[in-house]
Order: sequence, then structure tokens, then C-alpha cells
Amino acid sequence: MKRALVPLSLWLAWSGVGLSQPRSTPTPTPTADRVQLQDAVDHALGEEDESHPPSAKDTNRPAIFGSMIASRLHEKAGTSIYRIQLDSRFPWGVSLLLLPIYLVVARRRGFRIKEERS
Amino acid sequence: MKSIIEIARLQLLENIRRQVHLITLFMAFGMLVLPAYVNTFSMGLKAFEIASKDFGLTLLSYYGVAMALMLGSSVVPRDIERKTIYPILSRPVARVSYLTGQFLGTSVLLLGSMFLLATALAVGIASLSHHFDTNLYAATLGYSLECSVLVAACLFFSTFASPPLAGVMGFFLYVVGGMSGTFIQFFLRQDREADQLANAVEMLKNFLPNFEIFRLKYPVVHGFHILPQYHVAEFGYALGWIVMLLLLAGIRFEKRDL
Repeated sequence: MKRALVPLSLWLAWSGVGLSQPRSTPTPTPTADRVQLQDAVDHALGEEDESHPPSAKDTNRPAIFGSMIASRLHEKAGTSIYRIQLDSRFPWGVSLLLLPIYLVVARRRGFRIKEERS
Repeated sequence: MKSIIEIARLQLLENIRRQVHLITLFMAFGMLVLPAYVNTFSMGLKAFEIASKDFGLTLLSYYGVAMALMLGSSVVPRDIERKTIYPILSRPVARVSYLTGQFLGTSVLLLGSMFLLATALAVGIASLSHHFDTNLYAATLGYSLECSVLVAACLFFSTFASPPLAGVMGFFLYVVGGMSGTFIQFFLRQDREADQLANAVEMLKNFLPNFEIFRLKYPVVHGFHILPQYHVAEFGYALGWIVMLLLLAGIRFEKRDL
């Protein structure tokens, strides 16, 4: 079991390092500035007609924050009872599978103790 | 069944002997004065009730998680270390009964502590608003079930790992199991472009308890009506996870030579 924990720990460490690393951004140049300005103007003009769905990369579109907050509020309002009932099937199903395994393991230990005593 | 109740009673007494309840009493005092403290800074906006409930329930959930991780991960290893487990297991008691008893003792203590804290918060708010909000208990029930699942998980982890590692694994379960879809979509997938990590978290979430189900703070604070059937459903969900985790712990514990 301890051996199985090693790759899990490595994967967790790798994921953590990946998140903490800063994203590479290009060095601004006059040409890049012109392109960025044009992009910003295009974005500002295109905001009214919803030409593309909101994305976290669109820093000049406040709509993303509205979308994000709405999504989070929808989650915080609660989960539907039907969804909970569906999700409950997994743990109960696994428990039904585990019960005979537990009984077999417990019986084996009982036999082992009897043999040791005799 | 009798042995389970007796082990649970012993575990409860052991936790009281360890003076765990003193932390609860200290927190209860904090909960009692919290609304008055928030009211001081509300500048007459009359929003102190919402702010107090929000802040108080957040504190309650953090307290519950911290206690669940601390108590759940140390119950079995402490008994083995102090050799108090041997007189119990030398009697005709199944090992899963021993684990169930330990789980029940810890969960009952947590449940009692959390309802005491919720009462302190409700009394603190009622002293200013002259309205005793019983809906706080609905959120407290959810948090108590969340903590019970965490206790069962830590109990399972502690059958094969040391208490600190079991606590860390329990915390990992709490973080990933309670991670919101919005966070995965907007932060991991879109902002950080960590698609692999987002996929891994989403895949992992299918096999972990969804703690979002137990978090009823937002509906309670904003006065949404919660159907009684919801509590039945969340209780059934929590019970499923608890049974599964205790069976896993039992299988691991039966194979262990003590």
C-alpha cells in the first residue's frame, strides 16, 4: 500500500508545482502593443453581439465575472434531490460488493485464530 | 449491537477526558458574541443577520472539518499505541464492530458540539434581531453529515497510514470532493489551461463523496425553503459513504496482525 502512495504523492507534487508556476507572457513590443490595441477594440466592438462565449481569458470583458458568479450561485443554491439519489447508488452499490468480501476475510481470520489456539 | 454502543460510549468518554469539549465551549462563546461584533461594524445597514449567519456557519464548518480530521485520524492508532485495543479485541467483538463503535463515539461528539455551536449562534442573533432562526439547524445537520463522512474516511486511512498521513489524505478528500465545478471550469480549465489536471479532478470526483451536497449555508442565509425530503436524501447519501468506508476499514483491519 505504501508503494502505491509514492506515485500518488509524486503526481500531487507535480500538479501543485504546475499550478504555482507563472504563465509565460510575451515581452511587449510596439508592434505587439498595436496588435493588442486592435484586439481590445475588436473585443469592445464585438461585446454587444456576443460573437464568442465568455472565457476566463477575456480580461477586458466583465461578462465573464457575471457568468462565473451566476454559475457559482447556481451551484451554491443546492443539488437536486434526484441527483443526490442518483449519486447515492455508487457508495451503496460498492458497499453491497464489499460486504461478502468482508465476511470472507472475517471468517478466514476466525479460522486462523482457531488453528493457532488448537 | 450492544458492544458497538458500549465502545461508542467509551470513545465518547475518552474524548471528554481529553478535554475536546473545552475547544467547543471556547468556540461557543465566540459564536455567542459574533453577532454583536458584526453588528458593531454594520453601520446601521441592518445586514448584520445575514453577515453573522454567513460568518458563523463558515466558522462552524471549519471547526467541524478540523475536529473530524484530528479525531478521525488518531482514534485507532492511539488505541494501538496505548495498547487499550487488546482488552477489547480479546473479547468476542468483530473488528468492524470496534471500528463502528469508534466511529459512532466520535460522530456523536461532533454532532453534539456542532449543534451546541449552532444554538449559541442562533441565540446570539436572536438577542439582537428578536427572531430565533431554526433554519440554522438545517445547515448544521448538513455540516454534521459532512464531518461524519470525513471521520469514516480518516478512520479508514488510519488503518494503513500514520495519523498525520491519514489526516492529510482526509484533507485531500475534503478538498477534491468539495471542489466546485465553477472552479474547475473557470480557474483550472480556462485561466490556467491545466486541462489534464481538470480532467483528472473531474474523473476523481466521480469516485469521491460530493461534499457540495451537504453545504446548505447559502440557502439558509438567504432564506430559501429546504424540503424535508432533501435531508432524507442527504442522510441516505452520507450513510452510503459511511457504510462503504467502514467496510473498507473493516477489511483492511481484519487482515492486520495486531
